[in-house]
Amino acid sequence: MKHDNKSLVKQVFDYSMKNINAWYISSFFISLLVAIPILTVFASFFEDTSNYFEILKNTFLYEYIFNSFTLLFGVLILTFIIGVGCAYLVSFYDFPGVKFFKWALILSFAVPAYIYAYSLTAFFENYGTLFSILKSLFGDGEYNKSIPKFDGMFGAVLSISFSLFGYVYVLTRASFHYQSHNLIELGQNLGFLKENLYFLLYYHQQGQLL
Amino acid sequence: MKKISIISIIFAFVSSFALAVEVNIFSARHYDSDIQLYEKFTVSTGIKVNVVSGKDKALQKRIAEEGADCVGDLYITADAGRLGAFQAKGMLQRAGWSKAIKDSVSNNFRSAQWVGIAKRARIMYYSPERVSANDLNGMTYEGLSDPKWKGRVVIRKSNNVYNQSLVASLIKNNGKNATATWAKGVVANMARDSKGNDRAQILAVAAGEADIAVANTYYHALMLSGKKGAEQQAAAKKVMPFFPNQQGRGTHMNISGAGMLKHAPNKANAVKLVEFLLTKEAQEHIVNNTFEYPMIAGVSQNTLVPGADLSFKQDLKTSVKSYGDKQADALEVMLESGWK
Repeated sequence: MKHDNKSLVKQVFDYSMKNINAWYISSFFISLLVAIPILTVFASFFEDTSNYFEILKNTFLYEYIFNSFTLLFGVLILTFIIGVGCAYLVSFYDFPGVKFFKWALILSFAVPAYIYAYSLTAFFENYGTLFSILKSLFGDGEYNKSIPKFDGMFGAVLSISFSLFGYVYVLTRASFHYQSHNLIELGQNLGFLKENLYFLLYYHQQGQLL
Repeated sequence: MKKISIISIIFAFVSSFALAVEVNIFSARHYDSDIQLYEKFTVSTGIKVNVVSGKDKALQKRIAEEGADCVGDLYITADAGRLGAFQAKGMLQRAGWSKAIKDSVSNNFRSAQWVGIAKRARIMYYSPERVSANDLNGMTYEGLSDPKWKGRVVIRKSNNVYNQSLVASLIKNNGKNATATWAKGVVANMARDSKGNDRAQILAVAAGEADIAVANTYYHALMLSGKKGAEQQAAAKKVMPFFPNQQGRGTHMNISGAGMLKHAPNKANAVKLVEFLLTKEAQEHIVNNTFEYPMIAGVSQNTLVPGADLSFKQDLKTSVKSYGDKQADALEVMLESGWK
């Protein structure tokens, strides 16, 4: 109780000083270095922007903001569905190729979103790959009009989700792998039927985790 | 012995600068055929060509950041609007173009800082099934805002420099207010929100998504050549080129060009390279590989290119220098009209 009469500020100061060492200082400067591009972007807010910002504000700014949020929530929902869905399937079901998919699904990391975007566009565009496939299967025809186009918002959500769901997949699979089996065994020891276990234990547990 | 070797090292180092027979290019033109041209230049003159290739904006940024340390001599890119805007930023210098260059390239297609090495036109492509000769009679760029084209026009986005240059030329000829009204009319006539490159516009007409497209001449030739696949080749045959404003000032022309960078260390060699690019041999190489129009007369035509014989009326009244001058106004006009 020696420190009781010290002010809170002093306590906090002492605590921080204790943690300042070579590691602290070096990591502080490294993070500063890494943050330079981000800081530059923020600093550009205060630069002269000519009249483009005014024009943008009167025309597309709100649409851009709305689109950004649509993209954000779209990707959030889709990565969740694909990531958790795939992790669930490869963790709890045994089907041909399950071992392959367990690691192959991680490879989605290797493909940047813009590659998916180019591929989706090229596949579905007018006279694109799908057109060629249809033509070779069924002969000449006006297929372009009936081929859906994936170059708008939906295509953007798909491309980014395909590229990023790996993060959700890896984390979810790891949690299924390390936690659920212990719980299932525990549940079985306590006399639950296997079918009930999933609902009682696993969903409860994963719900908290996610 | 030690002294001699130090002196010889210093001598070798200095002489490597003094005798540097080279020219450094920053090129936003990503054609392998350009590299073959530079190799030919090296063979005939002994001047080594060092090329830094990249996206236009990245190259401009790099040149600006490097400042006086930039070793680039020539900045080669497509579109006079880009060259003009870069000149306005003070990144180019007076090149001192030789008489040979001035004789080859009309005043309309060059400035003191940059010079055109090939030409292209931004024209219209239409579906002969859905657009009649009567519809196109006396058709102009201005006519694209006519309500009869409602839901029938495709053209790429407002951030595209070819469009900015086209709209800049309209501002130069018709004034900003008239062009602003025109742009609103064009947006109202669009068959879809602007998207895709020039080829995508031509394909949209071929696919029946629109009736009339605006695109550069060499894209159609590129598709017809089969280099973009059999499907696009077949699609390109379904559309017809149309040269607008033939009764008036002529069709909108643009250039690929080379600008002399502000701190160019090998200025004389750079001028020699431009002279070479304007020779008949080099121009024929360009015409057959990038499907642009030659800058000089007497070059054999590539029949895939629409208007290859240059018998159509070119707009020689509007200097391409105005594309850079009016670029900001053009973008403003397009954005305010809701042109995506």
